[in-house]
Amino acid sequence: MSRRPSVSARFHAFLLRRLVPHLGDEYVREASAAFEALERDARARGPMHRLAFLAREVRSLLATAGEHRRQTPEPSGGGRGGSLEHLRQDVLYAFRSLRRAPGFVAVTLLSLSFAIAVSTVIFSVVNAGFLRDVPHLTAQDRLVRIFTGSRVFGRGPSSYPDFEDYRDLSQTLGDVAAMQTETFSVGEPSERTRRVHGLEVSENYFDLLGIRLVRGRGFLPEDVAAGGRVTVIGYNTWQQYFDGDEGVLGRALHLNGHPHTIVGVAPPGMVGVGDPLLVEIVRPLVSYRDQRGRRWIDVVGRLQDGVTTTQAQAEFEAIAQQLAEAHPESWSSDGEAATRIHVLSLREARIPEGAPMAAIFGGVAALAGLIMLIACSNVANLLLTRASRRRAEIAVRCALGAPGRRIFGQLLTENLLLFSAAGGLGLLVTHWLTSLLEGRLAALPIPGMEVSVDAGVAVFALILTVLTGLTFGLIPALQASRPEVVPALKGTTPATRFRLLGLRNLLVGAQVGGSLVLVLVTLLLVRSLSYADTLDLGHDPTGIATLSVDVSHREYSEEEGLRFYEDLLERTARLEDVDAVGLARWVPLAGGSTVYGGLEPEGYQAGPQEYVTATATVVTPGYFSMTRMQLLAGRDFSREDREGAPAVVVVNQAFVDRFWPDGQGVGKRIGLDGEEGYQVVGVVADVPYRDLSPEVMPHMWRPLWQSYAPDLVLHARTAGDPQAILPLMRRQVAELDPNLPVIGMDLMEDISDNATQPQRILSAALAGTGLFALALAMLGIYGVVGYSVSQRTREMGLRMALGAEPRRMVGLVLREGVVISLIGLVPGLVGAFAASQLLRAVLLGMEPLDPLAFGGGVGILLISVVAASLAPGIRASRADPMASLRSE
Amino acid sequence: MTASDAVERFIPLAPHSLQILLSLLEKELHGYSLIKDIEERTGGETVLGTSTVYAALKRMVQEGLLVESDGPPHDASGGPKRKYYRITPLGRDVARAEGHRIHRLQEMIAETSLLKGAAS
Repeated sequence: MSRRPSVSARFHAFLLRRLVPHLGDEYVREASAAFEALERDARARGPMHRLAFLAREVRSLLATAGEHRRQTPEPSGGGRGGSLEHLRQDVLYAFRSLRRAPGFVAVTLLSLSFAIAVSTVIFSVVNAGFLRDVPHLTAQDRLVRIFTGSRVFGRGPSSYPDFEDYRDLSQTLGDVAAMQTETFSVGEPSERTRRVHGLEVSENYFDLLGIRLVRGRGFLPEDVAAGGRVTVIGYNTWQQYFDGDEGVLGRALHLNGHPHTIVGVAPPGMVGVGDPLLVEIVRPLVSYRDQRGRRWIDVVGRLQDGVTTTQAQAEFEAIAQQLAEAHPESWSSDGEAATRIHVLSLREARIPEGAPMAAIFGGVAALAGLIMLIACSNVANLLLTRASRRRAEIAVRCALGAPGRRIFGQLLTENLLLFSAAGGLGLLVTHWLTSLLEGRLAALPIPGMEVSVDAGVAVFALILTVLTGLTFGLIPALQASRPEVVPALKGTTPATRFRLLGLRNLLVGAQVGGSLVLVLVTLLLVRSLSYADTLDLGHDPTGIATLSVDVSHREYSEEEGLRFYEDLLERTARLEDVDAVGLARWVPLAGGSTVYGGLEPEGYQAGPQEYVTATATVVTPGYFSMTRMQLLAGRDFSREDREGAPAVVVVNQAFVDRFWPDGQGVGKRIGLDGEEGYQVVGVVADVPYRDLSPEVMPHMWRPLWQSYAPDLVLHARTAGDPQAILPLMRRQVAELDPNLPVIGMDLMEDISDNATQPQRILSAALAGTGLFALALAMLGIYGVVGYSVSQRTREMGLRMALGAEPRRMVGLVLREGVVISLIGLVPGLVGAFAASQLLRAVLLGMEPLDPLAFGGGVGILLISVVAASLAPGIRASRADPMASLRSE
Repeated sequence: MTASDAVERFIPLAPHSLQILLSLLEKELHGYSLIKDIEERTGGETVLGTSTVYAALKRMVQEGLLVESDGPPHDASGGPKRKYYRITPLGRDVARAEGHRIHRLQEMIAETSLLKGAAS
């Protein structure tokens, strides 16, 4: 099999052919094959080995070329051979001159490579979040998503009958598919199961989207008719849990306790249409197909040829009216809350409504841009400084007769070499950061957020780097190649004045401003992070084991279900080591809750467009004390709160605060859609259910015996190890009904830890970024102030000769450093203010304009500025008066 | 020119040329495996770049120290046919002469105080 050599091998061959022409084609071919094989080996041994390999090859090439030139007589005239020889000399010279400035090289390489890596990774995450096309879909600009909602509620999910109506009634759409995201418990019920993200889809899902499975097939109507116990597994699941076994089709996989037959394998990196999570399990959508009011699925359609989204939207306005007449019970036609259908392209649909996520992502992307800006202005400054330090060296070369062209070319080579190295190193660091991040993300409750380095992003960062290098590397090169030889040779420079708005100071100002934004954001996030650690969860999850079951799998009647759960509670309570038990539909911070709409709290006047909602969950008596939720007023539920007894509810403090300004909850009534509703018997301190945002939503608890649900979570509190009682809990279920699958088992503590983890990771990542930016800015300030001092040694020396005290010289330099940074302070504060508003959603329990963070940020920055100016200041105070007098 | 002259004009031999001859003493190798063999034999102390090796190979073939060959009949690598190198009797003599030279050097060094007291 003959392959095309790799790019680097071809480049190597090219150089070899040019620099060592006598080697001949045959030898060059052989050498390049060996090069490629060696590079493969080196790559397999890790990035450092690869780097060492490349460095060795460059050395070997240059040495061989040098030897070749010594042995072959000099060709007359310049010509091509001459310019190649110049190139070789330039490269060697650049190596030598860079080796003499290790500090400069290290700072440039470090700041650029980390900036490239950090911004590439951030952009990649944002990209994975919502910019990139959904992978594996065919002709996705023809795909639309259809939402059933209202003006008030915006885009909402649809029900299965809605989906069927859309499919049957629409002329503008070729076909329509339904899907729903779902978390599956994967694994034999007898083992601890693994929770993975997946989808339930209509049979035509893969065909409609044009997703090509790598093995097997999608779903068929027969699969659904047979109960839908088939699955298409994700590529990762195939690789990791089945070792990529070719015979995987036909094998069984337990999902939520039921065996499913594997019929297909999805392509690698397949995600849902609406979110960036990797899909590991797909199975047919079979449940609730006949419930028109149960809206929980997503609908996606493909436009007919020539039809636009706007036309489809117009058609669906009409369909909505038609459906509202046909099904008044599930289609509200009530003013602003009237049910509407929204048709949006995939891209439009991906930008969330109200866009808090878009704001976060946009903000994060802006931060990434800031980092590049800081790093590039830093390096630009270093280059300017370096160029002026080398005036003498360049002047000597000019005086000795080097043409300006050669000096220019040599500086160009040096810059290109440095910036390519920075770019290469940047890619390595990117690779490293990405794998670090992937490891972290794998620990999240939402496994599989796919972060792959986007080639486009990396190229963008590289281009930015090289542009910086060329722009700022060449401006001084142009200047330097036409130096005024005499003053430069004298070691003096034309008198320079401190120019506040000079290019260099503006660059530092930009750095200071950018760093201020990052430092402030960092501080806000760190403060918010420490808040997440001390966050009042409103309950105590330690020592509680949970086990989820859903008796609808066994088609229990409500009566049978209640009896089962009553028995389960009793048996579990009798277990040794179990101190308290309870059942609940939803676990705080596990991500789910029921939303009750159309509430009418007694005495509360809802606005004309207001639709009063609250989240709700069903619990059993004793649940509050078991989870140590705090009952602030009234009573807990009791065994008497049954069917037939007055309907009761316990609400959280947020509910009382929101609807009853008198602060009294107990005794009030909450109507429901014009009906009598419930009486409030108790008030419980706020417990965050959905997420950790500081504003807890109004929430209601209802007693199980008045509000039956077939899917519940059994909780048991123990003073011992909760892990140890999980198997005992499972045994109780099995003894009551050996055929009832256990859907999941978790420790309550793990659930709340998982909930705080995304914030922790984001905050930690951004905090690291902020520190990095601060270090960069300090370097920049140090460089510029240091340079300004070195330019003015003459002036300083004169001042000293005229009797200025060293202390005052230090003060002078410090003052300049501070003044330079002030240029960036005001724009920085404005930027930080904007950034903090964008971050509002992720800041836990604090105001974005946190005085401590803002005061601290400015303080840290000023201290850094002073610290960075101190060394040059001290150097200035030691300037030798005699030296400057002599040069006059 | 006597046989000994033919050998002597190569002495002293460049270190990497000697390494190449040493690797080819017992076997025929192609460039890639030659570089690997030298690296292994020297415990990673000498790792040659491909340009160095191929420039040396070409020169040594021209000078008659090596010949190109087709390699072993069963080349298991499966890739495109690669060129192998075999040491010539002259190459062997040159390697031996260089070995003697270095050995004599070692003896001379040992007779001085240069390395005395250094860890053995």
